[in-house]
Amino acid sequence: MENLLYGMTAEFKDPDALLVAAKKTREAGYMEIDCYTPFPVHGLDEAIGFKEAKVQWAILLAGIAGGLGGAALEVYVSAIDQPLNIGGRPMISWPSFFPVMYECTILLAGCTALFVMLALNGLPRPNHPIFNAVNFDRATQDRFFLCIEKKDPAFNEKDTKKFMDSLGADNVSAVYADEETY
Amino acid sequence: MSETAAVKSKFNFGTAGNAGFIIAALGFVGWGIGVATLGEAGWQSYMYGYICFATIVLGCFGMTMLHHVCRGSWGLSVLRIFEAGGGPAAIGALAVGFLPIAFKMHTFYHHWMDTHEVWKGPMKAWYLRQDTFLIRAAIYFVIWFLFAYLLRQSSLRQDKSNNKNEAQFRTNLSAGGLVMFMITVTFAMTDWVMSMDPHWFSSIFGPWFAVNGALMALTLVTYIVCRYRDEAPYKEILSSRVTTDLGNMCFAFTMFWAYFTLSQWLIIWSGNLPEFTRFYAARNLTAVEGQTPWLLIIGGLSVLCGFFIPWFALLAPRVKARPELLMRVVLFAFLIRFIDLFYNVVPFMRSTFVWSDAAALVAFAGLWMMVMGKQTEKASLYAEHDQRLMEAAHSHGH
Repeated sequence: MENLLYGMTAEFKDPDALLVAAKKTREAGYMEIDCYTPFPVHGLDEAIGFKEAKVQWAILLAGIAGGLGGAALEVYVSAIDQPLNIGGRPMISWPSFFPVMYECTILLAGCTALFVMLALNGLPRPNHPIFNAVNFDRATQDRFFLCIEKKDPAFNEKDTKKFMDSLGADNVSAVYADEETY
Repeated sequence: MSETAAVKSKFNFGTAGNAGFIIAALGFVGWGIGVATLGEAGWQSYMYGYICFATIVLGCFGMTMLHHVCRGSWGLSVLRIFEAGGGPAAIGALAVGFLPIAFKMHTFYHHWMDTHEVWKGPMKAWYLRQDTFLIRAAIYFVIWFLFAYLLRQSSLRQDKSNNKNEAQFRTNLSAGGLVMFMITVTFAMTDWVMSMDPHWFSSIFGPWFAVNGALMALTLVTYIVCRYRDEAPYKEILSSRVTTDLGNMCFAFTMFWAYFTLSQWLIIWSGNLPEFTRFYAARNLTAVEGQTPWLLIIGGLSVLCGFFIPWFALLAPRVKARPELLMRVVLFAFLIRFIDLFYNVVPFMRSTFVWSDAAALVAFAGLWMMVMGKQTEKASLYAEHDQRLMEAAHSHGH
């Protein structure tokens, strides 16, 4: 049982209590923490020290690639492969290329945002140890969860429980995985 | 309430108002010399300065109404500057500033005022008339003044009474007000600017000024609050959340400006009809041998410096989270607006820059500073009726 321990969760009734608890948890030196809430809580990513910027950079690069790719496609089809004279405009009629460049930018950036986010989160994933937390189905309704994971170097079942009890949560409980995946 | 009852800044808006008076006085003297020596070109400079002034006043006015409709907490940091820069006093100054244009209207609008050309046809002849032109202008000013006056008075009343019904009144008034705003600005700019070339028309031209004004207003107030981030009340309320919101608004309107500018160009480029392309032909997009296309160059400059540079700079979250960086970006974006307005307004009259253009711009910039400074000083710099930002600042402190 002990080696299946995933972490320790605390359940809160409102987002402000969670925000305060998350800050205290970080101040207490815990690094591997996560929060589960029914809706995005403003400032929570900062409070748990979330600083990932990989997705943004991927989106920027994909957007630039999409824009240039769209321009290259248009130059190729309307000036190189099949030169078209439209109302006497130049072959590379670049003002009218903007809509397609724009669409390609959005398409590639949007798809990249979705798929890179999924990949970095390890999704899709049918099950997760956190689902075993007490009352966790309410994380999508009206409860706010804070989890300190076992992989945190400062994690110690007894001390961590004691610390989390001091946060003023509704209930604190240990979470066990179904099988040894961690 | 009491501790914020008299929020005064060390940066004194009253002093800015006095400085504005001196700048305006010098500017108008310079412009007067321009009129005396250059004649008609000097009057054309007045039109340029006046339209810059109108754009920022209307931008502040529109942003005031936008704030009252959506009531975002970020807007509280700058509401009082919007209220001052686009309030009843500023609109009054706008109306007075229009008088010389009405007086000299044959200089600007002789293409349609002094001819009875057949081209006007039934479609335009009923609209382009000297008497209705003046009546319409009077109607715009009355409507704008009325809305601005009611909103400002309600905002000041609520500071004292703390009556929540006032806020609802402003929301209701502004919701209709924004519709009124887009319609009247479209008509006003069609009358005042677009009709200088009565052959040409573009339905996005009026809204373009509304967007440009909003962008001017937003970049300038963002600059002011970031520049005085160490002074009360900004020291308390200016968290990275607020600067990020302000930066995002500047970002969104930069994009909006580009969208409007590109749309007009793209549609005209695709249509390729002489009555539309004349706008860009007058701006050197059609090459003439032996002539430096310098209007094309400043047009390109305004796209590069007015869109690409601020857009990429404002894309970065770290810029928006740091006021010392953000203020540089938005000041740059703000100053470029004047080049952009020059590109859009002046070639209707002539294709060259004349020194009195700069004098008129300085004069009107001073006038706006004077009105904004004096009006800001009349009320608490932080709107006391909505304490959300102050509360957020205090809860972080404890």
